[in-house]
Amino acid sequence: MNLSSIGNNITDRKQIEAALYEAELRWHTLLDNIPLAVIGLDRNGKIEYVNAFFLELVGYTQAEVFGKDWFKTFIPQYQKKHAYSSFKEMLLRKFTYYQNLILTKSGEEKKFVWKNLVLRDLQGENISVLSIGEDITERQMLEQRKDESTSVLCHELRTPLTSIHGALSLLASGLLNFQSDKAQRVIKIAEESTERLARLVNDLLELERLESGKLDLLKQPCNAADLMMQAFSMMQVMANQAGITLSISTQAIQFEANPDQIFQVLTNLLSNAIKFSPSNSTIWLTVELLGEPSSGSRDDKHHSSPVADKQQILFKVEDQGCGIPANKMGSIFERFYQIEAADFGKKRGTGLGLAICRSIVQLHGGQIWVESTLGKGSIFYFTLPRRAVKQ
Amino acid sequence: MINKRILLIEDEDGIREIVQICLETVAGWEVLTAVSGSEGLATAEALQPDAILLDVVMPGMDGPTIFQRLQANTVTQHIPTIFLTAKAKKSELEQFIELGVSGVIAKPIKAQDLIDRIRDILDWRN
Ligand SMILES: Nc1ncnc2c1ncn2[C@@H]1O[C@H](COP(=O)(O)OP(=O)(O)OP(=O)(O)O)[C@@H](O)[C@H]1O
Ligand SMILES: [Mg+2]
Repeated sequence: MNLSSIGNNITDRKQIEAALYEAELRWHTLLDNIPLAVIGLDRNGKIEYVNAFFLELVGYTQAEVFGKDWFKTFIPQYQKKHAYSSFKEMLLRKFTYYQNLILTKSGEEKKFVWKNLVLRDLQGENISVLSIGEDITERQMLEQRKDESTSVLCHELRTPLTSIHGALSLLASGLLNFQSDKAQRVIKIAEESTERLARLVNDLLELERLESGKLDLLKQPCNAADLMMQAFSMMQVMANQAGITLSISTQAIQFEANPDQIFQVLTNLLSNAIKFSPSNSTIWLTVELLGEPSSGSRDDKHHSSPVADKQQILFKVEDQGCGIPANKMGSIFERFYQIEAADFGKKRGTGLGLAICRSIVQLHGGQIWVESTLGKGSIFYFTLPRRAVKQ
Repeated sequence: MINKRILLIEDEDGIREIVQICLETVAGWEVLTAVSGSEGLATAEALQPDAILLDVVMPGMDGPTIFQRLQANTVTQHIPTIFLTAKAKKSELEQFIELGVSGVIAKPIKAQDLIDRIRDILDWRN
């Protein structure tokens, strides 16, 4: 072997080392950035490796879990025995798949699905287990919620149908004298239930259309003052009947939106405010512009300035009604969600009003939220971008 | 037939009124009504009806919970109770029967059928 070939060997080795280092780095970068949990356990369940993603999910640092017993650290007490015996069983096979609950540092339980690979040495002895897992807690919750909302939907549709069917069959049976007050009452119930069913179906179809994403918004120039005045006069009768004062303060702000839909949001919020307020109270409807006013021609929609693009229009509906408990403020925007209260809402709504509002506002690129004090009143806010977002 | 007294626990106004009218005018029974579980339990204990018609799906306390409360109370545990339900799944019906209810009637219901079913379940044929 001559000198130059030794020199070559050294460079070769260096190159190989560099390549190995490179490859190692690449794997580590991959493992630490992949949005999946990756863990390595030895044959006794001691933790040999966990990636950054998993550590973040469970709230531990590497030092806290390294070398620790997997089952003691992450498996809820009541599942430890079962988990350990299935681990032992798993060592006998090559690939396995399972779901389990993982305990985070804060004591929260998360549901994971795992795919496991058992790595063996040349003698075929077990060395370690490499598992890749995914946190499916959220997904499962969504699915569960979907199931629940389907069963709520069935109940909501069946209820008025049961009344209608019962009413008509009672009338058709001839068991009731048609002219009697009782019979007239039965007819009235059938009529009201039909109305409720029709409203429910309309609202549901509307909501489906909004949430399908296929809807063309057909945005056009709108005037806040006009829309508010229209909503105001639409709700005036209902407010009068309830002995409630509607107070409105408008501004002639021009913006781009689907006017029918914004009108619907305004009337939904006003009708809620009226429904959930006592008589002799006041409801305020106001509007304001958020963000810097543009220096250029404000209402020229062909040359929207970048500043105008960022401007938001904020509508506010404030009431002095029953208010909303803090823990319900998120839920009221969900389909069918209605707060149980004995003294309000004798004529039950469908519970779809706010879900429709939220869909419309979000489709426009805006936000809707509520601030409320129980027993004092609520303020519903929603924003809309002043200029339509290009799609 | 001796006049029977039935307690109807149902949260839906329309359904409650129609069943009430049906049982009162057509069957000639006396009908007590309650719009919620807690009201129903109180009425059952105070007025001791001959039978209870109980809606299954209600906000707050649902039918099975109310039934278990009725069972736990020595004053009400002997009162035959019938579930009214729109859920017609076989497994659920079986579950209800297992609870020990006297019968289950599935909505929607025709006036005469409802009365006949109640008579059957409670053995109130003359
Ligand atoms: N201004 C308000 N004050 C107090 N509670 C409110 C107010 N607005 C809404 N809520 C609560 O939120 C629930 C959901 O409102 P939403 O508008 O979605 O349904 P709804 O008014 O009951 O029925 P619908 O609007 O479909 O006729 C209401 O049932 C009520 O409990
Ligand atoms: Mg509403």
